[in-house]
Amino acid sequence: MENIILRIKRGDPSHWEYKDYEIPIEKDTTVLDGLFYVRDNIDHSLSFRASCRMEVCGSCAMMVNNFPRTTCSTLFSKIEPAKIENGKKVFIIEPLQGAAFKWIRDLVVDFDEFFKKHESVKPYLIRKDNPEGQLLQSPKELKKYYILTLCIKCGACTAACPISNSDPNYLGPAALTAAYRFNADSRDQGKNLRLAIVSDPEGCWRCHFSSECSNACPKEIDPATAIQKLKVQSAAYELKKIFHIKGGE
Amino acid sequence: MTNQESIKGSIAPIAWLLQLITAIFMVFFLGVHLWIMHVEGSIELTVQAILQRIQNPWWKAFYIGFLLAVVYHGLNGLRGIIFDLGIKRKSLINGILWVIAIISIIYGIYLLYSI
Amino acid sequence: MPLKDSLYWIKLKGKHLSDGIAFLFHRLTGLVILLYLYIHFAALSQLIGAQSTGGSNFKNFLKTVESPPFVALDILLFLVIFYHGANGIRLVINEFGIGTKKRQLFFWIMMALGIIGWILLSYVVVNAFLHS
Repeated sequence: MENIILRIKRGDPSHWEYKDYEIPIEKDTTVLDGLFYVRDNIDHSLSFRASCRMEVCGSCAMMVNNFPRTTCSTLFSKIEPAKIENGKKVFIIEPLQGAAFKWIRDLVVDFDEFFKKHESVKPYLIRKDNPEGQLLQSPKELKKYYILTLCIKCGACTAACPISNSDPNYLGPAALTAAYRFNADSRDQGKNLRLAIVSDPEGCWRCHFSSECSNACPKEIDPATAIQKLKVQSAAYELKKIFHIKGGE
Repeated sequence: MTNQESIKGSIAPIAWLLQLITAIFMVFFLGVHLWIMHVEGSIELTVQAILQRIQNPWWKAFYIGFLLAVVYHGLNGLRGIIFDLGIKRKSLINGILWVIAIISIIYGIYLLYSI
Repeated sequence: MPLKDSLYWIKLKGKHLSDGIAFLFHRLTGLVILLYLYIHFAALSQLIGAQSTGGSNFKNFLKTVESPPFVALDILLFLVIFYHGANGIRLVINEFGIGTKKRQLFFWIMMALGIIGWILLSYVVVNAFLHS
């Protein structure tokens, strides 16, 4: 049991400051537990989003010591403090950063653009026919894309991506990974449709493989690999179209 | 929402592929260039070797290829950095970079032929 | 504001050095090399007309450049080039989707090769300078 200091960014874009809150923690206290403690016992006006508290809903992603994490699954004892002041560890909590997220207040950012980008890549199975019964898939086919289905849309990857930080129009790792998840699904027949959307100067071609997204993903999905494979798919499709090889129409 | 299966802006995948291809070419070009430039010992021999080499049309072709690869790779990279900042006036930036590219290539070839 | 937003490129601290920091240095070294292209053009302009004049302009230029500060700058330039090249080769392979899961190991292997290449080239250049 020890006391630590949470340095939280409070306010809104017009007027903001960092406020210090001293809280008691134990070995298994999560950052989200700490935020609830602050709100319940010290400052009722603290705003933040949280829901499931078990890394499934994707609501609680924030910058903890300048790195995007899902706060419900981040234990204080497992991360390095930003600094130590007067013998107490200091952890800096800020809202998700970057041009992709508009800051609303305290630790809350606007996810509208994020979800719009996700929706724009047609993240659903597309069939050209109208099959009866089940669409069968072998375990081997499932393994190719299964990990990508675990995305909880927390936004950590998009906050970590250097391009998403400076370019608000970039689709972002989350949307591109969702596009590849469906392209790699053997039951899907809409690959070319998705490639038409994703193969855009502000789509997968804005990615330069800094792989910060894979670093930040709490589910360890590895969006960076998915985007590179998406690039290869797009380039192959485009070359086939140019040279009129079968497969590109 | 488009339902057509055609990629718009088809330059981007080609630009990406060319960036990677010129990168590999340049590893080779630069390797050869650094090797030959530091083999000769003295200044006299170096200048003599350069003047002789430049007469050979194969070396001229080598250096023109090198020049094209460097100018493409460098300016495309610069274009990527500028666009990553979220700049919206893409045609203007493209235009400026094209002009710089053409001037650089013309000057490089002029240098090659006027030595 | 684009310039303020791009400061995020430096603020990021990933779990591995080989990700965001490698990306940042790749861009910085790229810009340095692009600038060097134009400096190189300026230097090579000393060679214009050398076939007839015997290249005296260029020889004088080489004499000024064969001095310790310029050799030191040269070695720094080689470091920049070898970093960009080594990381670049890793990027070319990774961007085709090959070996992305083991990118940290791949990065450090390429860095080791790059450092070896840099040391060899610097040795040759310094040797030639000391014996001229």
